[in-house]
Amino acid sequence: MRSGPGRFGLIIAAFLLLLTLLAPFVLPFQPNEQELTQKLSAPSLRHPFGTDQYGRDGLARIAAGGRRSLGAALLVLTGTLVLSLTVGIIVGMIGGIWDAAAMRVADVLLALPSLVLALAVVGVLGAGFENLMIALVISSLAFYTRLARSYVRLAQNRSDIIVDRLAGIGWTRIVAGHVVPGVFAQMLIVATLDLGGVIVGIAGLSFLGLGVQPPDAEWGAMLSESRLFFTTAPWLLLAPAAAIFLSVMAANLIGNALRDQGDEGATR
Amino acid sequence: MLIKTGNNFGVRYLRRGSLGALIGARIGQAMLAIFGASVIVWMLVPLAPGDPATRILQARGVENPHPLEIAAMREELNLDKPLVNQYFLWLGRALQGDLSVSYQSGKPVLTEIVARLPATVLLAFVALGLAVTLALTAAVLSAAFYEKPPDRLIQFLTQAAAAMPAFLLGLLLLQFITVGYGFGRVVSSSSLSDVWLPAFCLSIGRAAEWTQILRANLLEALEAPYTLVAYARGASRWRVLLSYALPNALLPFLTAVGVGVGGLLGGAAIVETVFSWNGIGSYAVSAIGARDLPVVQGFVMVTTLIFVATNLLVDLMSALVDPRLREPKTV
Amino acid sequence: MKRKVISFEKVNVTYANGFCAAREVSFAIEEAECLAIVGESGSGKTTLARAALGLLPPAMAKISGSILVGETEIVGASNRTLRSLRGLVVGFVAQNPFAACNPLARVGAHVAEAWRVHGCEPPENSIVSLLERLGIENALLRAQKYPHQWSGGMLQRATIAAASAHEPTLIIADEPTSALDRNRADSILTALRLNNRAILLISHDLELVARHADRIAVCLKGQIIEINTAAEILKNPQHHYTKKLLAAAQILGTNQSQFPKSNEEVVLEAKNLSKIYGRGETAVGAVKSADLQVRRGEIVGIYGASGSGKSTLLRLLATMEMPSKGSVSFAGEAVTSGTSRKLSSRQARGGFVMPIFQDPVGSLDRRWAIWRSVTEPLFAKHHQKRFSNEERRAIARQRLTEVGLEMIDVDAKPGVLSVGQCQRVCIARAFVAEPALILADEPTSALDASIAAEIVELFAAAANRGIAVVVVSHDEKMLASLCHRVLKMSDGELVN
Repeated sequence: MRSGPGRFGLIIAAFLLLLTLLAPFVLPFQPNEQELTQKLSAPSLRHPFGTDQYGRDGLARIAAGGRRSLGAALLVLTGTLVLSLTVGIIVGMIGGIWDAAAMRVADVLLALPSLVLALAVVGVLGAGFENLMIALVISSLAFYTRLARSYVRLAQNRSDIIVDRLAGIGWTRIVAGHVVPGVFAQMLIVATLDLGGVIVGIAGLSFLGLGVQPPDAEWGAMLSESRLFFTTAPWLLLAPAAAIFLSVMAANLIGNALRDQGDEGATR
Repeated sequence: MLIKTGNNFGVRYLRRGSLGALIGARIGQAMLAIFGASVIVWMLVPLAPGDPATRILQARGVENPHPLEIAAMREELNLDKPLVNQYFLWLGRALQGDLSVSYQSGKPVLTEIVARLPATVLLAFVALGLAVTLALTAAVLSAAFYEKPPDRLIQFLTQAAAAMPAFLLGLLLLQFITVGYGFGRVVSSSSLSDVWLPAFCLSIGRAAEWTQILRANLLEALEAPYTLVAYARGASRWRVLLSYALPNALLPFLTAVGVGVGGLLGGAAIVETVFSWNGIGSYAVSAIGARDLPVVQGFVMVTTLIFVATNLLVDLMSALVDPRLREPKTV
Repeated sequence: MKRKVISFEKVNVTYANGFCAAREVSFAIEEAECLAIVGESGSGKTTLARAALGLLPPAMAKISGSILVGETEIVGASNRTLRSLRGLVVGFVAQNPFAACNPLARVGAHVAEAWRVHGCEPPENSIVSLLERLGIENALLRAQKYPHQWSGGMLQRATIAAASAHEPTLIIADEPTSALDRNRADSILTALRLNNRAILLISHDLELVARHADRIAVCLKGQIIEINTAAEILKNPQHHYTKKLLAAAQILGTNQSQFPKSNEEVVLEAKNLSKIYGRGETAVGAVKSADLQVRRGEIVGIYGASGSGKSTLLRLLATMEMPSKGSVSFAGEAVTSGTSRKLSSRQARGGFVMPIFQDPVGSLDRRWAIWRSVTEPLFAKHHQKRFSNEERRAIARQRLTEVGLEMIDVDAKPGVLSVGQCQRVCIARAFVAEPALILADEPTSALDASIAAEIVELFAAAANRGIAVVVVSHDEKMLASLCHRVLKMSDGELVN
């Protein structure tokens, strides 16, 4: 990470990851542990992020929510990448009718705004965190597959690959040696750039009550719960808000830095 | 020669040619996209668990419908026919404006949506206008003062805005400004007087994204040989920026706007819920919680129509800006 | 003594990254004189053109010394002063006319900008008469068209018209003809010298420039190493670098050998080869019934301007594309024909034919070390033996020595090599495949003249080893020097 903003993003990301991963081993409270005498208490040394309406520790819940939100975001992107790369590379290499058919389906899916498609999938499957993740994978699958396939098509016209084909190298060796590493690197950058968007999608749908069901902690769901207590306990809104903001910013900064490095690599 | 147009990174290509052929091809594409989307929308009901006939009867107040009633309803809904026939019967009804009835209220979905559509269109278009205005101003200033304080400030603000989801900004503004200072209303009237706060929240993410895209395109255009030639002929900095770089940078910007409208429409659903804005988005969200699928169908179909239409418009505008898209190559 | 229109006095230019692009450059141009600055890419000649226009802002480069335009000093001059010179006293013509025109504006508007950037409107009919004076027919109609609807040669005339709108005393032209073929290049340079204006001509093509310039300055690594009249430079070059440049042009100018052996085996045969793109009214015949026979050890050149169909022909011969009609045979065995979309023989994918492309850097996987790219053909399906990575490195070193790259690190990635080195790597890789036929598409057009000459020698060496070579290029001199025979391609037709 050579750029300043990129490094800043890495620092935020490291901080958030440490917080969410270490919290269960360090903090004296469990995220769902209720302490009814300590309802809605303001931030203090004992509860740095205060407590909520059931007396649950804010920091423990932010950490637990982070594990869930960020873990889900990574899972969604991994799923999307695996599926889209598999389909994209296969139809891109085969070409012909399979390629045309897959791309027409993708065209149709792309005609639907992605968040609207995600809402529709949740509508069919019902609310729930797993369903929400499935919805987010489905809603971005068409875009990723198209992109992977277009990278594969571009790669096929690359001079280095034409030379190897004429030399008599088999398709599998070419795909494994030239196509997959290149396309995977490009797609990984796109996925990193998209990470912030996926975090927002998860938080947004959970905020609408379509994701995590109580009592599990999740940043978007915590925002939604906090609305009733804003005037008395503003920390309940601010803590998850800051967590979402910082994680999206970190993801954006890292993604931008990776993309710029990729561009440099491509033009060098 | 092929040139990139439409949405998503070099995915849709149009052959360079005359304006008429271009419009024809593009309208054909849009019709196909809408047709395909209608298949997906229709599939929502057959894919979902549960029997639509029972749900509709329950919506009409029949607590435990009799099997005979259900059978009659199934026949009315054509559920006994093959799937392909079901689709075309559904499509035929949809084209006549019959989008079935809400499972919850028992009222026709179309009436419910038409009643709420103006509020959503108002919100989305005010937000679109705001985002485009903000992005144009910020990007031009950024490029004019490249790597000077104004540019750095704008870069910082766009990074911050890009990390601020619309619903989060909405919550914060609502709590701090509306509850704190009494600007705007917590439960909005869903009309022009209350549109500014939600539209601002909705626009800010797109504005940030579009500013970054337009700024990058402007800087690229300022490196192009034609800008060097313009300088060499004595043109001023602002003239080069506004009458050479800006028109050339607008093309990719327009495409980004077309794609971004999708995000705006999706984001509207959440922002509407935050601000209790009585549009189709908040209506659909409450319907999803209740698994009221005909309403979800109606919502998806209407937003898709708006999205496809805006992208069609954007492509036609691109052709108006860029002669390479509309004028044949041979003299 | 004539008045000087521009004079450089001990000019140094250092870019912000520390690169020194001009050192102690001094020269002057008198009224109605054409001075050409000749050098290879990276020699700093373009920097001098920009400095003369005041187009190197202080943030970009530091300039010392003095540049006088007429009586005005422009080193450190205000923007206002510079703008009052640009376009009015000094005109500028860029390399590629399509890139130099705003693609969204009509050509007439491009010419009119000459006035508009200075805040006035062009006088009536001035645009049309300007264009007509430069030999553009139908100027009124053509001015209404957009740049992409013009031809390159015509559009370059229009940009010259635009640059000379205010009758400047000096026109600076940066490689004005490098996008054009030879005949057009000559007519453009003639057009540029109309009206006896002073010209500062920047070019890499010594031979072309010598026919038009009064004096020539040779530029190497930011310094002017020799400046003299064109005739003297040609006849009596002083600096060894000038001699080398001239020698490169001369080797390229003479035909070395005749191909004597007509009894050699025919390696490549194309019969009635045609390629049609599109259908119906819009169908374009890119290649029209071409016939070609190439024998073992023979070098055949195909000359043509861009768009003549020569690259399509090469792709057809390489079986990268299927012909619409006709057939291609390798060593007497038919591999493609217009009747089938499939290869009729596996020969075409067995390293029988190896291509060399115009862009050598793009022909190597940028993620792969050189040794991997060079030895990859050993893993073709028809090879049984498998090699370890150490064996591959050793083979790569040996093969790279053959093409004169004994000193490079085989573990380097293509990104750290020069373009010329990359082209050698590509040729080494082609040799590893042990082809019977090498097809080269503009193999030297991305290279400087002296390096191009060395690459050309490698093809001659390949032919001596019995490999048939087909070279496609727009560089007639290069082809004439390298090839046993040169065919000409125009509008898709191949003629002897």
